[in-house]
Amino acid sequence: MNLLIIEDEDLTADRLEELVLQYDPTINILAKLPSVRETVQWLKETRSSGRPQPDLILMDIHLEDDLCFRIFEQVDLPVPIIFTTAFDEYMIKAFKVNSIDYLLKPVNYDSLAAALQKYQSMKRQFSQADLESLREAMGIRKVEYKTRFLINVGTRLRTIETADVAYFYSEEKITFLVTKDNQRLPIDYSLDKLTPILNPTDFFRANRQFLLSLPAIKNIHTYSNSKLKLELQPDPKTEVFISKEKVSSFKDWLDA
Amino acid sequence: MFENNPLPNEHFQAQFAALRDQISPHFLFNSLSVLSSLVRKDPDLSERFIDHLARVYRYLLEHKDDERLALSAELEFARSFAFLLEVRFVRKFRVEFPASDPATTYAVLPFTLQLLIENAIRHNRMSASAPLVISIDLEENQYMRVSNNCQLRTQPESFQPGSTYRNLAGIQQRYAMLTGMPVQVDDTDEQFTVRIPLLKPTR
Repeated sequence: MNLLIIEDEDLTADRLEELVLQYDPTINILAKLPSVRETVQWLKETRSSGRPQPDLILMDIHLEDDLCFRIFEQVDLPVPIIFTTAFDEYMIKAFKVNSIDYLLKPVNYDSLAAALQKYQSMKRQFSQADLESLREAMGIRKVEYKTRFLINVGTRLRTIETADVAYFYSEEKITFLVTKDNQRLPIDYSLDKLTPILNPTDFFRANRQFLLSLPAIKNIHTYSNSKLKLELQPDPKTEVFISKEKVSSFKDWLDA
Repeated sequence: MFENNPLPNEHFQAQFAALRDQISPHFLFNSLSVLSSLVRKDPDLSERFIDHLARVYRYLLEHKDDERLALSAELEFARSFAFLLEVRFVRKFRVEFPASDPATTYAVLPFTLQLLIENAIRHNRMSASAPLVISIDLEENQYMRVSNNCQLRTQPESFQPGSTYRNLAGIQQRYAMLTGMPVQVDDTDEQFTVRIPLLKPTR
């Protein structure tokens, strides 16, 4: 089992690791992360590069930079969670997300072992392969991405399937959807709003202006200063670059 | 607006006590959590941690009804309090104290420093690369300056058990009962500073 520890006090994080390994030395601790920012970054990076994802998370409520609930606002996290905290004022809120238990600090071996057993018995009630139903039973929302867009064209309404979209781009604060057959339609979403609701395997945020699907990429050229230059189809009639900082996550995405 | 019809002193005293008390259970359990990890890893540090934890709680118990207390005692308490926090948030947090105690004997309202330190922690992010640093300085004009670098957390007010402004208002009101010199708050983008008027010791 892969486990992720999210805790801002190093000593407490070490202690949790010790207790988990005492319960079952075969549990694989993927990482210990202290903040909302680092957790979101870790989840995004490991997902896009196909590295192992946690089966279970131990999560502190108060983190270095914010309350842990902010993580759920930034990434879909369909993983059961055991919360840990020194006091219980957030208990109700914690149970609204995928929590299977709630441990008070200092966490002792018995309460942690009971929580891990609870997780394992919930898991056993379903066939190992049937993770979806396990998630449903735990009230975890299935990851659902946007499948189509409703668009006003003059007085007509039309729908465009997400699968028919080549790319999205913004120009002078208006976002356009460009279909594979080169229809250019303004939509009411900003690129920042679109990025999290589209399947990250299908769409990549190339830069501030472009959100691309894979089939839209016709050619990739290496360019000066470690940038990449893209040729898209349909032709956007403007130059599209992958910045130096995004090159490695772009390659990961292509190689997924 | 209450100038001619002040609220009774007990009102503010009770409010201040409530602010003070909301902190201690949370602090105790977090400290115990740290200790449960530290106890086998570093017995010497654990011993010092327990010693300072005992000092903090003894101070809380002994002085909870005091109206004013020697500044040197409050500083000593704050050193213990800061020690516990520095162990808990290792590398992410520190408090810088004045090099020496003031020549003149001053007094403060007990727990002033505790409330200000807790405030800074509650409202700011801290990490190893961007630590939260609180400095306590004694000024010559009978003021103590407590300031921290601003790295504000983004959580909305509704998530929080008490806001800076409520805590500060509590401190300001209590000091207003004891001295004509106001508590001064200076809130800039980089630095949050509170200046506490130093009181005359009790006769």
